Amino acid sequence: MTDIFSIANRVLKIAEEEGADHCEVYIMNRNKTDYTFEVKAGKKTFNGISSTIRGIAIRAAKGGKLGFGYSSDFSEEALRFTIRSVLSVAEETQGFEGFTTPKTVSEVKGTYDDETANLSIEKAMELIDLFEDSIKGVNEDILILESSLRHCVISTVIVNTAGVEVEEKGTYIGIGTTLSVKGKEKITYPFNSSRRTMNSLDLEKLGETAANDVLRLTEKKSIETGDYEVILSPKVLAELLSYSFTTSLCADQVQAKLSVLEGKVGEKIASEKLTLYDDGTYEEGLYTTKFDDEGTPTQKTLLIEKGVLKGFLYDSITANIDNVESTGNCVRWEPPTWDVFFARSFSCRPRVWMSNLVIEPGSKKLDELVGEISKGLFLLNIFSGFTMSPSGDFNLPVVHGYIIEKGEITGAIKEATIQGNVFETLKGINAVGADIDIVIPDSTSGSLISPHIRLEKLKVISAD
Amino acid sequence: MVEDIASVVRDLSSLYGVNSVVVLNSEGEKIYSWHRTEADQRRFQLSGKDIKDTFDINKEFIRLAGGDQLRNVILRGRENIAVIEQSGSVIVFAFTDMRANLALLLIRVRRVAENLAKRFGGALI
Amino acid sequence: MKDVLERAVDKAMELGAEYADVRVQRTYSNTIRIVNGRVERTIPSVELTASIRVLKGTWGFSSLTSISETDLLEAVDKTFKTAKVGAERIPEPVKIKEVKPVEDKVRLGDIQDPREIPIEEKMEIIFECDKAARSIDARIVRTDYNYSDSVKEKYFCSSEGSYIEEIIPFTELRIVVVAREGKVIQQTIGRIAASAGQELMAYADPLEVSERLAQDTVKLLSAKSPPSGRYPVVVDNGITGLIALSTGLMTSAYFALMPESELGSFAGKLGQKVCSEAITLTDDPTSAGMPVIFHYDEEGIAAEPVNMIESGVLKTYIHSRETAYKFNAEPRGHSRAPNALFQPKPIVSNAIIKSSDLSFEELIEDVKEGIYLRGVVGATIGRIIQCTTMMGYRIVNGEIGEPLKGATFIVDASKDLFNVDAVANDFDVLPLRLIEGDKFYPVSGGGPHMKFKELKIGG
Repeated sequence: MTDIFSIANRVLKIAEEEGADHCEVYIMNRNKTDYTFEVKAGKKTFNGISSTIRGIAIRAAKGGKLGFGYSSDFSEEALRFTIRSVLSVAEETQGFEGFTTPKTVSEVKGTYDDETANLSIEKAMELIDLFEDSIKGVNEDILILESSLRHCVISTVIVNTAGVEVEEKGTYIGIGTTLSVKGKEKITYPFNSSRRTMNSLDLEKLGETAANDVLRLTEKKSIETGDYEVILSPKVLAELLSYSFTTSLCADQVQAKLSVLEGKVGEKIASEKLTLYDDGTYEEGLYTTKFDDEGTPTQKTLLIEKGVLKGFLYDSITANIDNVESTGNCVRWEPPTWDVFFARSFSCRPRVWMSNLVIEPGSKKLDELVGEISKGLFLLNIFSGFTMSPSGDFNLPVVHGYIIEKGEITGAIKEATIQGNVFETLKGINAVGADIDIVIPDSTSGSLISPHIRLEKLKVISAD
Repeated sequence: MVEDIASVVRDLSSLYGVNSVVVLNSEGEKIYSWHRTEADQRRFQLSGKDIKDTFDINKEFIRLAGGDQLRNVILRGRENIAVIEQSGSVIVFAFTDMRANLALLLIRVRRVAENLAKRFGGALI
Repeated sequence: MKDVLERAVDKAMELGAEYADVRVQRTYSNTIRIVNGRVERTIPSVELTASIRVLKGTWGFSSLTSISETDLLEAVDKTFKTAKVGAERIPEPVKIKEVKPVEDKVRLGDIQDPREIPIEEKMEIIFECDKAARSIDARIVRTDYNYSDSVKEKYFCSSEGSYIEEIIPFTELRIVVVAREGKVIQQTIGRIAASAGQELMAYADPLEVSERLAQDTVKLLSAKSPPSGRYPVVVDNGITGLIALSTGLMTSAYFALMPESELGSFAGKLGQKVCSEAITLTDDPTSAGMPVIFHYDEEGIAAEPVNMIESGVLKTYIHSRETAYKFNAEPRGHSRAPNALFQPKPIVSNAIIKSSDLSFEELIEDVKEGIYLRGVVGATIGRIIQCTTMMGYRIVNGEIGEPLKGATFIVDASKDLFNVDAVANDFDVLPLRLIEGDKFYPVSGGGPHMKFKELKIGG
């Protein structure tokens, strides 16, 4: 790491030589390994990929104007070229008053583990075997079309001319599979789970869950178009919340008058069953970090309390505009950047965005949520919500889901689309489960830590 | 007025790689010319008539090919580019070496021609 | 560069590899975005990417952003071990088709190198275009300019003795214009892109393109919405290009080996009719002026045009060395990757449907009541192509009629491609970006105007 700090400080020096008044250097190193076994045209194949990606992002200001650029070439020549380019493209930026000053960074737990970082290929193969065995243990007719294991170490360093000098290291591990059932090969079920450390990834339980899901999904039945009482899995909720809704919680959008939640702090915007945080310090959270992407300590920020909007997310620039403190939500991410663990990258310009969205669990077990429904649906997986319009209107096909009749799961949804508006949907929550899962939405940065929730009604269009 | 024309033409003459700029009225009379160096001026042998004739020949050429109005003439040598553009009663000619940003050159020639036509449209006699 | 890359592949062979290659790509790029005349962002960047691929029963692959000898040699060790362990767990070893080694250096052609143009000049061009578009009409409420240029320096070195260097430029401008009148909102998109330098911004005349686009956008405000239903449909070159691209992807042996995948429907169809006889489909990464150009692919094989479909019959897939071995075919330089961080796989570059000798007028002369669609706004492709077009026209008794707003249409490749009646004698190409998970490939599709006997519009 000392090596990285010396590179970072070298950049500050070059920036000074080139006439910058302020400079910030962000260096990210991502070390990722991915093993995949896949059945292609009836034959098992293997793909083993590892990557070590590092890059340096530079923000520099001269005469009050701020610019951004990046390089993955660490040579003196490339760094100087980048700084010159950054200064040549610098723009007036409202709210920029210099970079973050040093503060005590947050203590976080469960975000790094040596064993996960240094997982050998032999150990990885054992883990895949364990996972596959737990799937096959449920039913011998289950076909494993794909199984994969990946792990990753990310280290970041931030240094700026205001005196910030911070570093951190995090680990990630994930398992994935695509399953089918003999005689029902048309139905394929993808399943994924990611955690921060090897010990918190319960492979046996995950294998059983995936296997039980696919078995229940083979009994496809048509449903009728109409309003249904619906249980949303954390994954479905992540797809609904992570685009328009999250965007409207970001201070830059509020300040640009693009957020439908502008001016609604203190108002009831959701069911009183809903309490929501953004928590960059959540233990073992996938987006848990000691500091945000400009070096501000992360924190737990109350966004919705019992349905009432409490506030917005800020980075240092938007905080200056509203004369408040940053909530530690400076995030280096832009669409369509995506990663199975951590979608932030040195190549993205900093902005305001979520870390871990956390929904406070309720008291009902999943069995109870299901048992109380006389006629309804249980959605496991839907199309990604990233195409959603800023108004929050959605129209998304269901990928996998169950039919509930008289408190029991009686089949799987054949083909259907859900329709509605995210902001309206949140008003209709009638129960929040007691369980917790950590999931990441497609095509965006951030995770959702949430129980299953139940909606009074949701419009479902049958495709038959 | 020459001062005023010079201030409009500066937009073009300040572009990297541009060596000569000539402004003509619709009769083909030189009403302004600029050369980056004395050497450029010495080498430059084109008369206003040469420039106007080239533009007119091409105007006819486009018409005979079945085309519409001619906007500009672009000539590319191995080492140089020449552009002639007409806007209203003004013809602007620019001569550059290959270092010039061709895209920006075309934009600025057009802008200068339009601005001159706008400001001095009737007065360039 | 050559020495260090050779030492890396030599090391892999010493460890016992059957084959190894190293790829390096250094990309200099600039992106500029100007929205409503204001700079939204400008990002300069230098990206260095490298990867090592080792064959030992199966592939091991490592990518990195360093080309130091220590880092490369360490990656070789790891990659070799990955391949070896993985190979023990699969039933059939991976083999690759033999090819002759090549040594070559492809220099930057006669272009205006974007690295030598100050960013202020590039911005001025875009500002001018933006101003021109917005000054067309007060009803234009939004203009969005996305400009990017890049120069890629690529290096390839294999254990078989190939060593190739190639420099590839790319310049692109995407323009979105939105007009509004009351509640009616109209959006149009213009695209300029080529494997070229800054001179593209002169030849492609972005100023003219901007003005036209703005005029079209305003005109469309008062156009009627297209009807829904099944109609005879004529599509413009760009939409033909989109269909060519989607069909071209299905001719990749990579997808043909995954019959269950969305693009796997040409599996097992070699020698069979897969679409109308009017369609002959070529992938050509070598022809000048096209959006994607390379002399050598990501496996160091000289690229050449390939006719995948001739008069509706699937003649060949496009191959990597691995798929070429499986199908006993020749790899002809169509393996691609977004940069050196990703594994190569056969993907089309410029997918082109061949023109006929029919004029546009002849193409539409027997259409009594149909729709003519122009311009691609957005699309998802696969076996089902779903596309939103920019605008349309009615065709009445063989003549172009009133203008219509854009329509959405669906092409089911397994059925509708047999419904292509005829193609015209013109040609144009549409630059596109193919996004697949975290990967993004510049691609293009092109061809003539094309006529469907019947196609589903709207709804």
